[in-house]
This record gives sequence, C-alpha cells and structure tokens, in this order.
Amino acid sequence: MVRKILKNRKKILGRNEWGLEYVRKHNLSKAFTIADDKLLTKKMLNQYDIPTPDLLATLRTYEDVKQFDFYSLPKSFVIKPVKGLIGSGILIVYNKDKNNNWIKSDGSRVSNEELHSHCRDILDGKFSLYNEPDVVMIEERIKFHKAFRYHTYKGTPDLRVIVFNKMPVMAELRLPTKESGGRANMTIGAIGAGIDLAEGKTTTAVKGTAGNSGTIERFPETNQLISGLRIPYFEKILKYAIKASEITQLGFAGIDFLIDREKGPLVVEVNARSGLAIQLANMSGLKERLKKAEGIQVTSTEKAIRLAKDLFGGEIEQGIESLSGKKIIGIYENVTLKGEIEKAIKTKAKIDTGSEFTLIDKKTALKIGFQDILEDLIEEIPSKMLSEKAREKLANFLTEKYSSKYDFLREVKVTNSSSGKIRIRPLVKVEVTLGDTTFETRAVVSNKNQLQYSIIVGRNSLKRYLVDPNKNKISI
Amino acid sequence: MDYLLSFLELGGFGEYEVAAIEEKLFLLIALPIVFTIIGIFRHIIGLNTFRMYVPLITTFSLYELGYIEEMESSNMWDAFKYGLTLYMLVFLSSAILYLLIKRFRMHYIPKSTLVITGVAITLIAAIFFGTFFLNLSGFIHIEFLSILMIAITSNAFISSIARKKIQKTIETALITFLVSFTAYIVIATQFMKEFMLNQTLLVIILIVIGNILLGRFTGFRLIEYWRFRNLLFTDSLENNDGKKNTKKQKKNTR
Repeated sequence: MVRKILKNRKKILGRNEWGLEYVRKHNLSKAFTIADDKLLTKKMLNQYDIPTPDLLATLRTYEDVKQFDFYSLPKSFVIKPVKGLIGSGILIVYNKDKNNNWIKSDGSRVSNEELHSHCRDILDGKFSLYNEPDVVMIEERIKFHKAFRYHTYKGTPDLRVIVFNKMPVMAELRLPTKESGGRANMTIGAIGAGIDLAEGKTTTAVKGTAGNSGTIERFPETNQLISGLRIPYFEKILKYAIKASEITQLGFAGIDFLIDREKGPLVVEVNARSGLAIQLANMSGLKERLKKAEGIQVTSTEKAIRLAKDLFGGEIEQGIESLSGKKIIGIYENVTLKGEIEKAIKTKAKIDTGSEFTLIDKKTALKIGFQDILEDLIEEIPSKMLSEKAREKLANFLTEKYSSKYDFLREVKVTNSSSGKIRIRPLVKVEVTLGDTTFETRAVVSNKNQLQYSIIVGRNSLKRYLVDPNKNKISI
Repeated sequence: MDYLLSFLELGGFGEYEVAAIEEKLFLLIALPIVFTIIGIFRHIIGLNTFRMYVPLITTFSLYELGYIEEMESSNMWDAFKYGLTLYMLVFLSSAILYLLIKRFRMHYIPKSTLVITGVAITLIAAIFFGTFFLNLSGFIHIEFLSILMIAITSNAFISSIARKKIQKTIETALITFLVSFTAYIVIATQFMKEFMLNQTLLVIILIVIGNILLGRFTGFRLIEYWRFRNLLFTDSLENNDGKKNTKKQKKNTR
C-alpha cells in the first residue's frame, strides 16, 4: 500500500515543483510578458495564422469608455481585462432584453451603466496583477460547437492543452454547469474532463479543483455520459497548441481553446502558469509525462503529435482491435488451462506464431488430467523405425482406437523425432483462458516432460488474436 | 547578544534602558522568524495567507495585545481573545461596508477610505461597549501597531472580496489568522525569547539555512496529499489506461 502511494507520488506534479522546476525554469520573463498581455498574445498568434476570437473593440482611457456605445456591438460579446488573471474580470453578455439591459450567462441582468462601470474598474487595474492600470478588450462571443450540446449548460466548454518542450502532454475539457453559472471555471463548479491524446476523446471527469469529490460519470443537467465524447478538430487543436507555445516562447504552457460552431478551434488564451487540477481530471500524473517529454528532441509538429499519442494515449490498440475484431496480445501472456479435471492451472504461456499447433509439456498434461491416455500411448510405441506411410497408418489406427475411449482426443500424431525415435503424441481438447476470453482449442502433448514454458500457444489457437511483440515489454 | 548588551551597560545605559533595547532587538530577530513561518505554511503545509504584510502585522499586533509590561511576558490567552475579536470585527465591518458601497462609482482610494472610516467607527463602538459594559481591559493595549494592522487587513479584505468570491476571502482570512497566531506562539514563549536573545547568531544562521532549503523545496505540500488522494491511491496511474477509462457514447435520441 505504502509502496503504491510512493510510486504514484513520483508521477504527480505538486505546486512547489511546478513553480520551481517548470514554470520558472522553462518560461522566460519575456514569455510571461507576452502571455500576460492578451492583446499582445493575440497579435502574435494572428501574425502566424493561428485563429483567435474576433476583437471588436479596445478601450484604453476613461474617455474611450465614456464615448463607447455598447449597442453598436453584435448582440453578444465578451468584455475582458487585457492583463487580467485567470478569468477574473471577464463579463460575458448573451443578449439584450426588452428594457435595453444586458443578459449574462447566469440569466442575471446588467444595465448599460454597469457595463461602463465595469470597464472603468478594469482600467483602474482592479483585476490585473499588482493592480496596475489596464486596458479593456471586447471580443466576439463564441457559440459552442454542436458536439457539446449535451455536455454544457449555457456557456461554451473550453479545452486546455498543456504543452511542454513543444509536445502536447495533457489536455482537459472544461464544461460549464448550472453550478458554475454557465462559466467554464473549475473553481466555481465547472466540470473538468480528461482527454485521451491518442483518440481525442474524453475519459474521466471531476468537479472542482480541490479533489473533494470523486470522479463524475454523467453531466448533471442532461444526465449524459461524459466519457467517450469526441473532440472535434482535435488534430488541429494539438497543432495550434504546439505552434502557440513556440510563438510565445513558453517552454511550459497551458493553451486554452474555444471551438466555434463555424470557425473551428480558436486560441482564446495562453497561460504561463497553468494549474494542476488537470491531473485530477485525467486521473494521471503530470510529472511522469513531463519527464518523458523532456528528453525528446522535437523536429516537427507532426512528429511531436505522433510521439505524444504514442506516449500519452491509451487508445491506439483499441482502434486496431475494433477494425480487425481481434484482440492484441504479446509474446508472453498469463493463461489459465483446463483439461479433463475440474481444477484449472494458471501458468505463463509463450505465444509462438511459428508453431502450427499449441503444445503443452507432459508435466502439465498430467496436471490437468491426461495421464490415462499418455499411459496408453506409451505402450503403443513401436520398437523399430517406420516409413512415412507406415507412420500414417499407425496414426490413423491409434486415432480410431482411442478416440472412442477418450472423447477429448482429436487425433494421435505419429512423427519421427530428430534423434530417430518415433514420437506418438495425442492432440487433446483443452480450455484456455487468455486475457478475458475463454475458448476451447486443441493442444499437442509433447514428449518432453517439462519445457521452458508449460504451454506454447500455436497458430491453431490464435485465430482471434494479433500478436504484438512489443506489448507487455514496458509493463514488465 | 550578551556581549552587545554588556557593551551598552558599560556605555552608561541604565538597566531599564537596556531592557527596552533588548526588547527591540528581540522584535527585529522575530521578524525573519515570522516570515519563515509564513513560508513554511505556504510551501510545506500548503495553506495560503494574504500576502506578506497582513500575517506579519497581525502577528506583531497579537504580541502587542498579549504583552504584560510589568512581567515582560506574554499572556497568550488574552492575545487570542482580543486579537481574534479585533480581527473579526475588522473583517465583518470591512466586508459589509464594502459590499454596501460596491455599486457606487468611485475612485479606489477614497472608496477604501470610506470603508476604513466605517471600520474605525465600529471599533470605537466596540471598545466603548467592551470596556464599559463588559469590563474588558484588553483594548487598552491597542497601540500604533494595531492601528496599522487594522488598516492593512481591511484593505487586504476588500481587495480580495473585489477580485474573488467572498467564500475564498473568508477562507484566506481564517488561514491568515491561524498562521499569525502560530507565529505569535512561537516567538512569545519564554523559552523562544531566551533562545533568540542568548543564541542570536545561531538563530540567524538557522534562519538563513532554513530559508535556503525552503526556497529549493520541491516536495508535495501536505494539503496536496489530500487534494491528490484519488490519484495516490489508485491502482492504475499508468498512462496507457485510456482503454479502461473511455466509455462508449450512446447516441442521444432525446
């Protein structure tokens, strides 16, 4: 138990290490300047053709605010402080109501005067780091992609990708709930869902950042399963994320996306100090992934994405499986073997596609109840050499003689061994459990008492499997 | 420290004055110790306070409130009583007043001045009430430092309420008081005081080494063992577990 905790502990990133070894070490101060200024970030991203939400207006002085007519904007928009920290000061307007007041995501109303007041607060530096004077930016409101229609309450889900050393290492989808007032903010009740990087589908989900509740299965307002949701444009998102981290020169970045119904993915923010709750959403430790990504030389975006999927995704196997309908196994697998007696034995098997038949050694055959036939067959061994024809004749004779006596006996094989003696081996029916499947197959009982592996699974038993020599190598 | 004091005595300072200087020196050494304790709470335990000045000044105000002149010792229970009452009064009055005038369009400094005015009035009323009707004498110890504390904490409270949720502000305020009180206990015990005055050089060396180590500390904060408990206790923290976790989305016919 303690060992498990210690082992897991090494894979998780804590705040102390996060600050010292990652945020400060891999993000230069120049990068912070860019990332903390949303207007500058936007400008730089757009220069390199990375799409961002449309900028509708910029207000820099009290005069600008006083003279600005909110009614000239499209009916929905977002007011943001340019240097605001993690979502503070953001005001999302959905629509106008009959009295010319503005409707927010939680349904509450704000007057035009309140909007002006909010802008003035932003200029005063109410929401910026160190309360320094700031600038107001007004962007278009992104309408959520219909892929998320059963997994969001009023707001737009956003997607965060953590990029380290130009590789995407972890991603999460944040879903606004009723509790969060339609905001994709996990500290106030939004749900964070981990994303499998290989498949671009959601996996586990949690609510809140404190790790209080366990995982959540269904989205509360619609009762839909959260896991298995496919993220549209996922490849593009990974590509943009890598590019965005390069452009802003952040070695360790959290890139936030909104996926628009028509325009596809847009980069809405670039974070130099991305938080740690993403680990809870993915049920996976960040440190382990960062360490793996650290040693890699990234030569191209495509390679980075491929590597990330290989290293941090778990779904590639499932993809192949569903294509061919076959299960993937490695060269060494644990099996359960059952013969003529009730008791089954658990043993390690070698998978050998070069062998026509599955082979079990004599010791194992005796263990699972085949001693009678083996005793019988010993009597039948001829004293002299036989020709091929004679061997065939003997095989047929023995098969007929004994298959009525033993119903598990399929065939008796008579062959020449390399040492010149005649080998008589029964082909028996056995029950094999490999992975989570149990099936019946035939196995030849070897002359040898004990082989290195009690059972060698051959081609006749492998119809429903694909063998991957690299499987199991890592986990052992 | 002894050398320093005996040096002063030789210079002609009286016993009384030496004791007073000793007290000041003690406070100066207590300063980095309090900062160290704040750092320990943040980086080792994982509890965040308001930034630097608030817990610092709260700790020293507690010291002031608990100080017994005649005995040169501290009454911690008094400090706790009056300190907590003062702190809570400041918090409640600041919060209520700020939330009341939040809507009005005003520049930040005059706005917070209004809040402070309200806080001051509240405290005057409280002292009056406490001394007259409840016969509490502790408020007599509100000195210069406590005034500073009131101002600084009030500003920190309303700044936090403005940016974050009120719930988070209450949380942080409570943690700050806890940390301040802990720091106060550490420096106010007789043992610590004597240790700091007699082994000053050692204390300074320990503080320096301790903070260098603390500054490079990359381990888990205690709170994180709780926060990440689901991850720590799970059997499958391997990355290739997507298979287990991804479920099939059913087509919704609703």
